[in-house]
Amino acid sequence: MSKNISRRLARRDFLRYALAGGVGTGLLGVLAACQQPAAAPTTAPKATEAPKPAATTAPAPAATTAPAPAATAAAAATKAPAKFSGVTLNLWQHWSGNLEKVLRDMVTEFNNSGRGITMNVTTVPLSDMWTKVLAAVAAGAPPDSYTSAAMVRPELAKDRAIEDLNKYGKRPDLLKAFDSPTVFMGGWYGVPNNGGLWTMCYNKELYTKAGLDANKGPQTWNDLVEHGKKLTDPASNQFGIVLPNKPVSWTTEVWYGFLLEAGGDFLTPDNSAAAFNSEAGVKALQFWVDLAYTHKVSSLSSMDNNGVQAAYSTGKVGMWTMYPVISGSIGALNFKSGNNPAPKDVKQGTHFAGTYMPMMSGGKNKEALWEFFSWWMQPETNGKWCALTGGLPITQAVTQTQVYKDYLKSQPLAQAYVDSFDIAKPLPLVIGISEMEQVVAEAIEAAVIGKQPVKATLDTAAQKVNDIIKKYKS
Amino acid sequence: MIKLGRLLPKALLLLVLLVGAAVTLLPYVWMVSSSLKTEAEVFTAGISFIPAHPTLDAYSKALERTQVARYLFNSMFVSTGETLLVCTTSVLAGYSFARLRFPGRDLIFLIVLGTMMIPTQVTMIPSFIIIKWLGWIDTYQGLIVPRAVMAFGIFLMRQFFMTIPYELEEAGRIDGCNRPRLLFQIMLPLTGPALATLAIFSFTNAWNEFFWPLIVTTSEDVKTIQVALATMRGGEVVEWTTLMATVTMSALPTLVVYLLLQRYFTKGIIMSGIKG
Repeated sequence: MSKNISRRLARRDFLRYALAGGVGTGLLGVLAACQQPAAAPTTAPKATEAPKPAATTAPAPAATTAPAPAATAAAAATKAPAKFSGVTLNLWQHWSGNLEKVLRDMVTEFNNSGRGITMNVTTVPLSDMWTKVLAAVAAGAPPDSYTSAAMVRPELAKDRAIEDLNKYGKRPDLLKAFDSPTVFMGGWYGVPNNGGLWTMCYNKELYTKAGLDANKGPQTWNDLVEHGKKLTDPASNQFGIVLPNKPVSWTTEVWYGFLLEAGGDFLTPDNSAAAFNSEAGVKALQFWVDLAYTHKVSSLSSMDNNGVQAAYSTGKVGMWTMYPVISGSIGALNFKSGNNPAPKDVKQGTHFAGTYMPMMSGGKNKEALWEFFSWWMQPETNGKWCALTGGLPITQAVTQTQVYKDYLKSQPLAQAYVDSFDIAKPLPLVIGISEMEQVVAEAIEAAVIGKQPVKATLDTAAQKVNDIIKKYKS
Repeated sequence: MIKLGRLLPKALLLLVLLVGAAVTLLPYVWMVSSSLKTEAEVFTAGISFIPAHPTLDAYSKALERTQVARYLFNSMFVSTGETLLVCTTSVLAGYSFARLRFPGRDLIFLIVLGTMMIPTQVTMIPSFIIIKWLGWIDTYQGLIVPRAVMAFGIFLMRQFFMTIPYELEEAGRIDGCNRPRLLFQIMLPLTGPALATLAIFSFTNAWNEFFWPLIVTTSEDVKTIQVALATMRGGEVVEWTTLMATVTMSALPTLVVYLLLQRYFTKGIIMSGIKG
């Protein structure tokens, strides 16, 4: 009897497992059936349509604006002579969403251009890219290239884990801001994948409601305070401005712009010591503290880059610091935004960032990778990338391409970035800069959220940064 | 009056449990709700669980732009493979440590236990170099084999085997059973609850594994769902609705498995003392 019972139970269990397996497989099957290939060909665009911003909610720009099929056809018509045959390259990149799609579509065009090179693109989380690259380098299995955020890692250049690109070809006439993040000890170590700097974006509707000129955002720090006061409404949890304050590099990079505006700098000119604890540095950080506590116009919620963007997107924030690749999502919101170059104090300034592609020394097909880099830096290619993603052009020639001119006409938020080229400055390219950014971000958090005295906090951070510099020098 | 005195504690308990359940479920409701909203609506100030204009756009975007089905299959395949191997090695090693007598047995067992104290990050690079030598980078075997042995599993099975009376084995021996038959036909059927615990623990461990798949995979073909989700969340531009749609889809298989095996899952949690 008991045997019979256990047999019946076993049968039930079997049926249960079979059902579980069936449902699971069915679900995967349904998903697989719905699946489109990752780099599916895009639909044909209307010839007269102007490029649109890289909006996240709008249809993918590649589908509506990009001359993808046309460009493919053009590329096919002007196919480069096949110097290579059956070469496969690997690029690890960190973009997600629309930017990833655009990158993949463009790489597909390159792969189909008859060069005999196939570039495989793998997406890696931005926060884990460095760990993965280090592990791969240590094990002797690096990719041919990867996207390095903000700057090329000088550690890799020093250890000869990446190549000086001057050995492979002539550097195009890159805009000056792109020099510092890629040039280290006289060598050129990375091709710009994307350029970025922050500007002051503002909510036009809140500006109008507050009786401010919606066509003119804050021009100075004083404007920032005055506009902020008019835009802030504690009763409805509405703030004049949001600034990042979490201990992440993004916080340091935004604050660095304010530091430049106050007349300061991050390190001394010879990069031998911290300089951000100068009078200008104290003024810049005190300004952030005052925005929160004295003028009560900025939010004290703990926020990183995603946090400030999300806060602004609710429509309850007057101003925030925006980078170009985000313009598309902001342009697609339910309310209109304006965009100004960073407001000035004693001068104008902003942080210049970007994403760079180094050539890994462990790669086996360096000439083929250089071919890819050369294609990527062509004005037409870069113009298209910028038009579809909001990225900044890398050379003057790109700004003259029709696709980029059309983009500027159609995307009103973009002009402020172009106007900010001359005031943008990257953080210095020194070994240990990521650790230094972390130290400064922690100091900013301590002062703004923790109400620690500004001067003492910056001095402590400066000491830590000097120790980092010393550590890597020795 | 007496009835009320009895009912009140029960009602309070029920209330606490209901609140607990609501708090636990809220993020999931929020996840599904956000996946059905437009990107602009996600950021609307105030809390709203019901989308004003429900849309499946985020799902079609997720399916078009990412290989969700592939990532889910990979995670399922790797987790299942890893679980089978962990159960096999744990049973064999656990039985050996519990029943066989050989020189240095207890010392070896202590060494096995000691490996639990070594952080994964320490063994990461050496493991990766071995995988490279074997030519297993970006392969399923590269993801599964290095995780085939779990010290915790060996410990769990050893302890369980030690609770089974020797008499059962001796009876089997008298009837002419050899060692493998003793293990597979007499001992193994008795380890059901422990094995189920181990399987559930190993499967969830493998499903949630992030760091090793991040290092070993270099193409979309073998990428697991956890790494894929991190790529969507980790960029400078996050499309929240697409991310939520992908998370919702990725939760479905585990939800189905859980609903069907929840009896064992609860048992497993009680047995292993794992919480939260």
